[in-house]
Amino acid sequence: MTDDQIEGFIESMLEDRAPKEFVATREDTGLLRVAIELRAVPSECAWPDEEFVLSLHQRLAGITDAGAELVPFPPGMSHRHAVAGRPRAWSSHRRSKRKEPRALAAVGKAAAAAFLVAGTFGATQLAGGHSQGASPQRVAAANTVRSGELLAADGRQLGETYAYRANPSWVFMSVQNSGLVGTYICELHLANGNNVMAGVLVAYNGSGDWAHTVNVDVSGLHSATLENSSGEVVATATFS
Amino acid sequence: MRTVPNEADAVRLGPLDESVYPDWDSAYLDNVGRLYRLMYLKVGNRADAEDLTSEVFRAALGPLRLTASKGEVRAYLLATARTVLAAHWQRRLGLEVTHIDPDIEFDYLASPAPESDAGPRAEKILAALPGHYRRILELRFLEGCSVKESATALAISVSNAKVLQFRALRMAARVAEELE
Repeated sequence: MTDDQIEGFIESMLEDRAPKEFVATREDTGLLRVAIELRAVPSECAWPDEEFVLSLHQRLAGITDAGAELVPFPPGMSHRHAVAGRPRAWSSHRRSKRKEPRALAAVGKAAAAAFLVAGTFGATQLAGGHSQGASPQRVAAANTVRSGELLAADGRQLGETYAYRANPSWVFMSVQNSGLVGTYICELHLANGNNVMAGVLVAYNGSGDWAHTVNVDVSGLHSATLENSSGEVVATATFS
Repeated sequence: MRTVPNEADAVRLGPLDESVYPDWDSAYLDNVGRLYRLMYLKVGNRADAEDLTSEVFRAALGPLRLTASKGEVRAYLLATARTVLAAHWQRRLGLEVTHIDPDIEFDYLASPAPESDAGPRAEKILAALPGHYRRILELRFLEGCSVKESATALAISVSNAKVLQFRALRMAARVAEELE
């Protein structure tokens, strides 16, 4: 890391902006850490804006609204049971959208993936915070979607992944009855040999899903993997 | 560092609040402020703290069940936050600068009015620095002065103020390491 990069990091931080990405060296982490410590001292900076709290609240509620199918249901529970078991305040939003999943069955899996990814727009936009230019779309042409089955080392299918070409592009991963529990790193592998860590998938009772914008050319994707905390690849999908 | 939250995390954290949240709104509102604050302490800027707080809730929303106790909900949020923060640093700088230790941070997340040790610790760090190093860091980090304003206050050039700040942070980093 150069002095300019450190200076840029600190200036961004002091202006409450996200510092730019760069490759840091281990010897500089102490300096950056103490800068963060000092920055966090003024207590008025360390509490969230009311606007942010309300906005996030609304958008999280939107996940169970527009993205109903993205919420994994505990094994053995039907969709109806899961909706009935939802907290009242948010489940009421979902009931009005119950017709949408049935409509999806007619447009095929690829288009359905595009729908699901688009359906998470509100949630993942806030998660990434960098997809302001995106426009949600309900159905995408098949050639804008690439997909692959997430397979364990023994060949067992754990789930699937979809990449959706748009501006920005999206990647969606889902596992069901996979035996996975906890948090897994989602990594994309490009045909040119580069790897991109795209996000985190949280699996509960074997099921979980994740969607996010990605700054890669979807046509250049080769495969996607899920890695556990030890860096071990637990699932691999090759995009077709 | 990559971590997988599991039951062992909850066990390791000791006794948890066994009461439950009546609805998701309560769970969210009870934790969002403290989780944001924790993230802010780890990244030092509002933009990243908001993004990471959002990411934690987004990731935890599906797996979390309201039948879980408050303590379990907090433990899961914390475990998710640990992973989200680690991924953030990996993306941003390629290595981990700060991390979340569930053993230490759980009490912070569970406290109604959490107090961090950032203030007292910063005082110790600054007190160990030579006067001009301490002053530049106070001006920049505690008093919110720009480089130019700090340079004026110290009667030095802007470029010298930048050099002074850099050297002061280097020394502060060494002091901070000795305090741990």
